Amino acid sequence: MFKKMNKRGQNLLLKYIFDIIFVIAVGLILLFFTMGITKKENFQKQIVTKQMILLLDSAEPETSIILQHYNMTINKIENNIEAKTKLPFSYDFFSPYNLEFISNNGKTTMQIFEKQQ
Amino acid sequence: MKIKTKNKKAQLGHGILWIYRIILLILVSLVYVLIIYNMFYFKCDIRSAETVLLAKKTTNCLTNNGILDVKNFDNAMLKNCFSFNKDQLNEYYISAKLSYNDFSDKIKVGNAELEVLCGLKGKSPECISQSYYILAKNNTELKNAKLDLSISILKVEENYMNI
Repeated sequence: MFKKMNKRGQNLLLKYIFDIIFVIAVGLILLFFTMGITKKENFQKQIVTKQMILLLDSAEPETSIILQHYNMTINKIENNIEAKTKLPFSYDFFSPYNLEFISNNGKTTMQIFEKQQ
Repeated sequence: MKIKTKNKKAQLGHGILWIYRIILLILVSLVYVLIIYNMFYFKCDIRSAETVLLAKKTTNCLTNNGILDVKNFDNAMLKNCFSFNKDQLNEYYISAKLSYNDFSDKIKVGNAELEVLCGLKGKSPECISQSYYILAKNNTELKNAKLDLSISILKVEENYMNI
């Protein structure tokens, strides 16, 4: 059966356990610190904006696009679509058509019309 | 006071313990660096999709049911195909070359320097070249023609994640 550990053995084991816990704790602190800076929002903002841009640029006139998004406001500024939480992310589109843009309550509707001559 | 010196075996054990600690720290640091690297260098580059869309829009704009009117084939026509503002003109380059028989003409819009930077390593523009076989209408005469499109998009900052 198991032999009872003497005091020296117990101390050595404690030392190893302490080392492992210390390294993991330091790693976790650094990880959470970095995650706090980067944040998921920045990724979401970029992805939502770029999805909208690709849909908009490929759309033909007389098309309506409805998008659901959360925790961010989306605006159209000149030829740019801007997603905003704390910091904004904007991306420009080249669609030659007229664009009507309505955004409220996490829902954005884009309507694309033929340019009037 | 008499200080007790460690015997050789104890010193060796102590050394091994430090090696173990260092290896453990290196391993944790490596995992950490890998996770952070993936987070910081997240790339969401949509320029290749944009170039394809731009080529499609350009062809649709220049031709009508596959027929291009040579009379209207000029830079103004290409510029009217899009609603680029001043800033955008530095980020895009579109050129279209029409050729049939002995005739050849090239129209362009945007920043011509981008074409030179195509294919460079690193944060260079995304480029695409496409050829279309179309009908060129010269007065009333229809001729088989080739339309070569060259499109470059810069927009480096927006397509590389920088947090």
